[in-house]
Amino acid sequence: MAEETKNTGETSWDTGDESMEEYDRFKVVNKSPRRVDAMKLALGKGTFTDDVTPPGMLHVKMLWSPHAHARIVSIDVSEAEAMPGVHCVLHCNNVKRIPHTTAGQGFPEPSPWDAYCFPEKVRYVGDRVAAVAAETEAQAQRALEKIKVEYEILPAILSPEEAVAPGATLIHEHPEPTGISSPEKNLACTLGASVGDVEAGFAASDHVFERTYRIGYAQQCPIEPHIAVTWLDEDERLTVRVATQVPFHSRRILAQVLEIPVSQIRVIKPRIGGGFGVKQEILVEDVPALVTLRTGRPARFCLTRPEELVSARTRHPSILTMKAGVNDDGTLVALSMEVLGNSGAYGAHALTVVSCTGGKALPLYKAQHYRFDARVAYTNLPVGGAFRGYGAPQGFYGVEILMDEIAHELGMDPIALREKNMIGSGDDNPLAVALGEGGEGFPQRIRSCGLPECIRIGREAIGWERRKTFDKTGTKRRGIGMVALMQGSGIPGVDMASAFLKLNDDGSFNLLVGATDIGTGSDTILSQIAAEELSVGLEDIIIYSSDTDLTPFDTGAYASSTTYISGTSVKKAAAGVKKQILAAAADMWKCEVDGLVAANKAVTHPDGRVLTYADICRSTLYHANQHQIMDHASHLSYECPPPFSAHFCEVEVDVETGEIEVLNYVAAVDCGVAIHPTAAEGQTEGGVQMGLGYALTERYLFDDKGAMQNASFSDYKIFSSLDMPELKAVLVPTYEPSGPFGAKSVSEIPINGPAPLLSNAIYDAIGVRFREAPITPEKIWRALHRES
Amino acid sequence: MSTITFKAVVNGAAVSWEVPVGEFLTETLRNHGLIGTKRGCESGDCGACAVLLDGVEVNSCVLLSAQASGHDIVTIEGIGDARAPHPIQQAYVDAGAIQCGFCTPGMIVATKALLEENATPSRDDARHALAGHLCRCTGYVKCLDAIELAAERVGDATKGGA
Amino acid sequence: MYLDLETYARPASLADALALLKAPGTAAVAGGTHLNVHGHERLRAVVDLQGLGLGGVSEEGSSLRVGATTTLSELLAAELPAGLAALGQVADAEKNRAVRNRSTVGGRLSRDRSNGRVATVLEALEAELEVAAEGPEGPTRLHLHLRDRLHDVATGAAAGIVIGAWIPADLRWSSYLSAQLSAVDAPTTDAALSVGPRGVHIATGCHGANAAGTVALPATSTAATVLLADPPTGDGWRAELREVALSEIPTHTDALAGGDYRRDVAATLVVRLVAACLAENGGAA
Repeated sequence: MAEETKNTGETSWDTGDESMEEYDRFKVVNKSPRRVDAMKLALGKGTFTDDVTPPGMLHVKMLWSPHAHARIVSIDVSEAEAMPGVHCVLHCNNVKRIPHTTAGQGFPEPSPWDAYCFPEKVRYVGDRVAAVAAETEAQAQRALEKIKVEYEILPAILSPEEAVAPGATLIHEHPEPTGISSPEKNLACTLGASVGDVEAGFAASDHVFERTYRIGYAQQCPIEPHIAVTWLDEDERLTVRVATQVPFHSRRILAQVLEIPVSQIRVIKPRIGGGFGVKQEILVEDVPALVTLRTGRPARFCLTRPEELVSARTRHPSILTMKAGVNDDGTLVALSMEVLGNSGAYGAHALTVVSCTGGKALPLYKAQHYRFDARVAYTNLPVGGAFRGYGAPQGFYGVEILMDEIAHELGMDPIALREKNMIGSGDDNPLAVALGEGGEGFPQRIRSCGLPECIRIGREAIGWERRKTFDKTGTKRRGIGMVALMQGSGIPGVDMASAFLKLNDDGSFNLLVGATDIGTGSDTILSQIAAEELSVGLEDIIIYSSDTDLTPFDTGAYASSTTYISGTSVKKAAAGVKKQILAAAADMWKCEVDGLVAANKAVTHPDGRVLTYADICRSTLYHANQHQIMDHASHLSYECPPPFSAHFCEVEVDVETGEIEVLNYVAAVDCGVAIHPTAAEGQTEGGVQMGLGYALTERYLFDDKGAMQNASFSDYKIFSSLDMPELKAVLVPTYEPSGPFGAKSVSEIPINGPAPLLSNAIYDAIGVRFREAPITPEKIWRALHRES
Repeated sequence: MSTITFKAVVNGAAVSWEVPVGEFLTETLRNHGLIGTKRGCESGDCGACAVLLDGVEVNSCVLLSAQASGHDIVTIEGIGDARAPHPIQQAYVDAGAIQCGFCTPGMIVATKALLEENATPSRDDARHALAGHLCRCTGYVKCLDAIELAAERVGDATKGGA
Repeated sequence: MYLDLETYARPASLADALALLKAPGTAAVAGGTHLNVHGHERLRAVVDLQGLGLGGVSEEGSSLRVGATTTLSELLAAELPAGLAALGQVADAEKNRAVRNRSTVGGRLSRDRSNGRVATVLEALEAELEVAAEGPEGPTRLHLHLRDRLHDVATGAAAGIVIGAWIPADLRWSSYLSAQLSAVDAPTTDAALSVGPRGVHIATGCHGANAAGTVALPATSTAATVLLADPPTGDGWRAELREVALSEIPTHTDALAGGDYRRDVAATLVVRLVAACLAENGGAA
């Protein structure tokens, strides 16, 4: 039976410092075995969504809006429908208008229901207009060209400042969408939270600093774009095979927009070529599903790379106004953050992302007073969604550059300023209740914190003391910077995961989990957790994940929840199975359970007799007191233990061309016990790659009509192997009592580092402070030319 | 629709396929069961579609099958299989270089091409070999480790070592 | 991804190729790396040049001849006279190996002006192009100045097929530099320099859609020739040369970069090239 771990206020908030000797007991976790799926991927055999082609499959191509803001006056698809190979053309006049959100979140979703399968009004260049399903992609593409659309062009809002200005054209003026904060002000959401009284705090401080930071668009860029393939099975149930992080939310929201029962839909998540949040969205599968329901034929809809960049989801660009009250000795007294976010044309994830902008970044430093105010505005631009870090990268952009600026103003070492104020083991998170994810949260106390050690390791590895020794006169100038970071593990009180486990004849186990491996390695990690709890080897676990017909529920792969929440549900289910195994052995030996020991895939009697799991299974399946040894468990946590990290880098700037080279980078991270250390390093290394692009090269360039000008990998630059610095990820071991075998999380925190870090390192190199990302060579050149 | 006859040697076997004139090699390969070659960008930037054409690494997404007709093509499936994985494939597995696996076939093709031309690559050589292979999961770090490991093992195998 | 093609031809003779290229909606393809990039939706026929034997790098008399279908990889691997090192450098500047293995010298010259690294270097190396065009008695070969051919490509007036580039083998030293946002990227701007019996030749690439493309810098080249003949002491010459360069480098602003930045960086690269040239060749005329 599932145990409840409700936080009734009686939970012990003991830290994990006493539990470090657990590390000596691990047999499967905290080791780095070969991943269970690695070989098939190396062979090119792992089947991704596009690798299975049901016979008779139709191809869908989408007509996207060429206008940033326009009413669709008329659509004439008669010529398109008559084109060779065309089976179906969908548009706003033949698809029911059902407001919903595309955000893959729990029900009721904390995002406005402001989206439609085919809107009557297009709200950004790249919004959906009409879809053609044909026998081949070429036929679908040719038919698209025959669709005639008449638009009434409306004024376009191309920045959040324009959106909130009085008299601005309204982007969502229809009364029907629900959950929009203030449609009459173009606001998808507003949020505020406070602790104490910041104005009093500023008044009482020796110094008050106020700065504004701007951080822009970026895209998750999984190498596999969005894709879904749908068909009707032999029972006429809709089967959806989709590159998704959220199969269960997908099933529910599809039921909503297709108006068919959940029971008539099966969502299967195959291998996924990366998600990073962009696939935490019900973004593409509704279209082929509609085609399948109308034609009876399988259907495929895949985004091209330019479509992925423009018409999928992105980071929420944000303007952060930070204010800090600090005393002479560097003590932080009051800290406030005001955010104006850009939601793009629809409000998916707007509220929860901006909650994290404050909620993940502000608590890193202990102040007596905090204030957080946020507005996220609609614009006629690409749509913000879930993107690794989920608001925290923007928050740390503000906080970690501000801290650096304060240190320089006070003449303090930037590390010393952080160490003076940072949160630590045993501390309460003062904002945890006031600023949950989209609403009120739950009290949080830090039970594991390796941040001091992360900083110590990082400063030594980068050679922090060398900062004073660099030549500041040559053409190439070097600098070193650092940042401190935290994140969370799961969404407290919201993220629920479950697992099912059964014993097989040979002592192996089938593990069925809702949890979604999107390349994160969770299939391996969850198997390790099960194996450790059951006292078997990794090879004894056969895992199957993320099929809404066969696996139990999981909210999905987001919020750094899989190891911490799904992992605990697996551990609980395994504990239940182990209990049954011991009970069965006791039954077979006609003895008491006490004194029986499960180890090495067998149960040992105090007198030395052994029954292997295989023996026990055969007995219980076929011989006596027959029953299938199996158990299930669900897990929800009211705790959200943060991983901590410190990043350091050395950068070299060419002051004539502005070109930037990141030479060395050290990311030290405390993720509690790393269930699979190599995987944890991999997440860190990958997150740094993403963050470096966000810091230096990734940008959306729009023309004055809101059309993206650089929608391809040729012009939207993500870091290649040649751009990457020498990168070292170091895991700092701690033990988190509330996590499975002491684990927290690691997948999001690394992306928070690079953007503020590069501002700090470049300031050290050339004495110019950038408060806007990305920092490109041209921006450096302009700043240096302004100065001279 | 106009077609041409694509006649080539694919993974050691002679094939003859009717394909649309304007079809790119990625599509042709995938339509004939060779799904290991992936589509990531279709502009020749990400390398997920890489194959060997006459032993040389090319992006199949910008190569018309018509152009490739008459040549020798090796895809990831031709480098190793489940019964006999290539040491490069084993090295990527053992170095922890595979996360989502979508860019992996292309990187392995690039590694094969590298080791054919340079049996003792430096880490910098490895970095350059992967320059046209975009990865969003790994930060490339363990992929470079994998290439070093592969070079060692392929070197050992050539010397007759274990 | 697909092109809506009706015909693919792989002719065995120049005469056949030239005849096929006359049909509307037809393009020549060598490596093909640019085919899948935006702009080829209207293409109906391709003429594959791989069967025409237009590859090869060889010394012919007093010139280095680079065949039009020589790939950048082949150029990098070729034994080049020491003075033509810039050719190897520009091939190496294409960091994407798979692209380097297919992209050809001729192909790079036949696109629009937007990615003209190879053109920048050939301009600085005083290259001439050999173009085959239809004539009354079969294909005729014309020698065109590089800039004339690039102009024809840009205006859509280019006829015939580039079959090779001829580069003087008596150049003493050459080098190529570029600046870009990311390590694997088209250049924001670039510059190339050669020095030989006819003095210093410098060219810069003004890249981007609708940009000026490859531009020779005659005044800067003359100034550099003078510097080389009478090498200066100290660094004062840099600022002066920069001014000369800025006066003849065009600006081009687009979504990716501003014109003033591009021009300034191009001038920086030119000064760096000249500095390297002086260091390597100091004193000799």
